[in-house]
Amino acid sequence: MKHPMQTYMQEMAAVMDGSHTGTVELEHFDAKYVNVYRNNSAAAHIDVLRANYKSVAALVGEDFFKALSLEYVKQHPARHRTLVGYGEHFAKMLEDNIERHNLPYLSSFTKLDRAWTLGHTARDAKPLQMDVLENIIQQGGDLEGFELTLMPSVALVRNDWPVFALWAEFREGDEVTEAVALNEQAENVLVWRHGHDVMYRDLNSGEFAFLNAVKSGGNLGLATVKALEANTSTDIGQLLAGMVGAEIFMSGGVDG
Amino acid sequence: MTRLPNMAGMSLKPEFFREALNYSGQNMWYEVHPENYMVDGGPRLAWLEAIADKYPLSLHGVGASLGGLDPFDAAHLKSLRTLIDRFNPAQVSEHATWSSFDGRYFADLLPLPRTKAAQDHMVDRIDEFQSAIGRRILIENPTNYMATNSELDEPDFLVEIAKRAGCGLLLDVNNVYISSVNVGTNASAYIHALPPELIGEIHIAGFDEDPVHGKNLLIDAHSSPVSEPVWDLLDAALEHIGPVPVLLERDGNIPAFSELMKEHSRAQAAIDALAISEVAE
Repeated sequence: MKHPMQTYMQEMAAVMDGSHTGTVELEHFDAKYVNVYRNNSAAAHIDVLRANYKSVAALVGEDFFKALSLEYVKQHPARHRTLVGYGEHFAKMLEDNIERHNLPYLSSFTKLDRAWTLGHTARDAKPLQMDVLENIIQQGGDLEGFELTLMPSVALVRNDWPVFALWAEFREGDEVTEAVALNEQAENVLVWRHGHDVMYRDLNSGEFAFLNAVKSGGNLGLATVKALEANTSTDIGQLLAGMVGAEIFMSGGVDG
Repeated sequence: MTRLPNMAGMSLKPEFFREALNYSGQNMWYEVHPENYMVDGGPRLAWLEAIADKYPLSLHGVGASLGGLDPFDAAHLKSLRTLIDRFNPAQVSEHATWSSFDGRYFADLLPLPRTKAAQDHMVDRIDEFQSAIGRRILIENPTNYMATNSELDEPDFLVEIAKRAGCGLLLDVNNVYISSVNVGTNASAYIHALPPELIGEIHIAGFDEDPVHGKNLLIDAHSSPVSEPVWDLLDAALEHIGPVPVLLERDGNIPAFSELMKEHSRAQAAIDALAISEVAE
């Protein structure tokens, strides 16, 4: 049976999602100021997207970012009761509309911002310590068969445009006043959380191949092969020590 | 679990986590929207844990859609229960509003018609919600932007719900003031119509004037200092209710912690003035 509030809520929901056309009439209420609710809702979504896509907002400016955000809200209304991770399809929307905004590198910024947000709120876990690997070596064990696992906060971002350096400036709140020339060229970026801080750095081809193999479930032996295939001068010992020190891999046990 | 102290508290914001944690005074408690902490891990939860170890904590929800017709969101309830189990808050509260329909979440607090049917619905929903999270809650009076011809006055509507559902009330005096301007409610009569024993917390906050309609339409923005009429209403509310926890809300244009502390101190002074007047009598 239809609830007595059904009609009112249906009408109000149509106002909120912008599908209501013509004069708004609401059961029980004088709808003169009904748009306050819609404006408040839009502002809440825009604020969250601005926080989650900080560099994109800084890059394109307030008015354009608002327009992009409103388009996103229309295409992807919130379904979860928390907006913390809202905006998961933002990069895809920008990729699908390059002809409209004419900024082909924009989705590369978006992917990096997304990786930052997900890294910031990812599950906590114990990082792998170097002594675990050293013990295996000392005991004559098989290091090649050792299974590495990326920490939950780790993201490997492959961009079509080399925006990393510029993105990092926006991310750190630096004011970018000089024109920057970008030529289409792929880049690989590592984003992860170390303690409470989200870290990021670009990866050379050997490092990316190594981490990508680990991400795909490969053991240390396979990751080493992939790294050397990508870049024959890769120093695997140095790479591994650096990554373990940066807390890129999980230990066997998980907490949090 | 301990009760919130009858003192002034403050909305906790990431902008001043460190200052909040290092605050050395004894008269403090903090409130957060639990939805901002429904994450898998990371610094937010670590900061909240450090704060909750040191100060009483209140979880003030915005996402339950208590008055909505959609079933409660199972993931939201589970996340809220997880936060309650982890942080053992002194208080949990929500809003006498709705915010979702047909699976879509609007991220705003929409008004309920004040009808007997809505009242019955809210009683059932609060009962279900309280059972699901294992806590008695407070429900907050809404901000009104639209006049209504509903059959019940807002205080009568809320008091009846609270009594039947076994929950308490959170009196937001900023919302009462905004409603008095926007839809002509009598703010003083509203406050005095609420039984003091039902009220577990008071909120104060700042409002904005609507960019088009100006001072005739006030927006509950929480982006500016508390206004003088709202400070006056706080005094009136405390005189009627007696000492209760008073929260200074701030969600936008976050100033320095020291600036917020000036307003916090004023709220604390308003509570302290009750004890002084009691002694004088």
